[in-house]
Amino acid sequence: MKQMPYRVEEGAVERAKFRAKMAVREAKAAQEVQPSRSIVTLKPALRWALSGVAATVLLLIAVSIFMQKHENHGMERLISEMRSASEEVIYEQMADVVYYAESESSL
Amino acid sequence: MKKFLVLFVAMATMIAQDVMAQEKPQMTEEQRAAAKAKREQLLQLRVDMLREELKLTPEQMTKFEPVYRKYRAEVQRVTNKDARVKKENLTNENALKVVSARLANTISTAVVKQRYLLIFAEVIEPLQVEQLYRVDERIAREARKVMKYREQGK
Repeated sequence: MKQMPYRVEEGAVERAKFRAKMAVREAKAAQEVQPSRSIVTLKPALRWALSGVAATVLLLIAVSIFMQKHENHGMERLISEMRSASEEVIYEQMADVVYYAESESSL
Repeated sequence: MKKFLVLFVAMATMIAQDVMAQEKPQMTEEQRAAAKAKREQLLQLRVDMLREELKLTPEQMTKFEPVYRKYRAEVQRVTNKDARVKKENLTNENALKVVSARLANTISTAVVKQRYLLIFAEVIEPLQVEQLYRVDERIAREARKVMKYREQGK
């Protein structure tokens, strides 16, 4: 058997392997114990801040939808009233319509 | 006897004509009143819509409304009614006359709009004037759609 160029203590390799194994096991155990990140695990202040931001976003969406509907409300009312008007009155409403416009086909 | 019969028929015809003549104006009067009310309602809706869309202040509104009413009346006045022909009633005989009336309307209403530019600019901001014409044009297009829809429904 060929002699190793340096002297290794008997059982040193096994001990090193064991220590490495233990270190891996401890690291895994520590990872399992650490709680998963979710809004519940966050600090209360941060939790409130996040809830506030979410509520603001939802409120903004609701306001924009309302504004959009409100904006068209006048036109919708006008159209619905025109529907019940006589032809003469409707023709008066379209007195300034451009008949042969380029966008005619898009109507 | 024959003379009496002729006289009776003539009198009956005259009475019937008189009754019809009385009924007809009454109907027309009612229709006219309804149309007038509708016209006013639509004009008021236009004004309300413009107040919102142009974000007119109460001070601007007080000055703007009478000018706008006058403007709309003028647009109506310059409009040639020959343009009011439904697609189904267009024929080779009347088509050119109708197209000509429609083109004339485009020109005459544009002239009124041009003239009112500075008049409106005295009571509202220039950007509001621009928006006013856009809203008016949108209303005209919607009215045309209503008319088209009605024609298709018949």
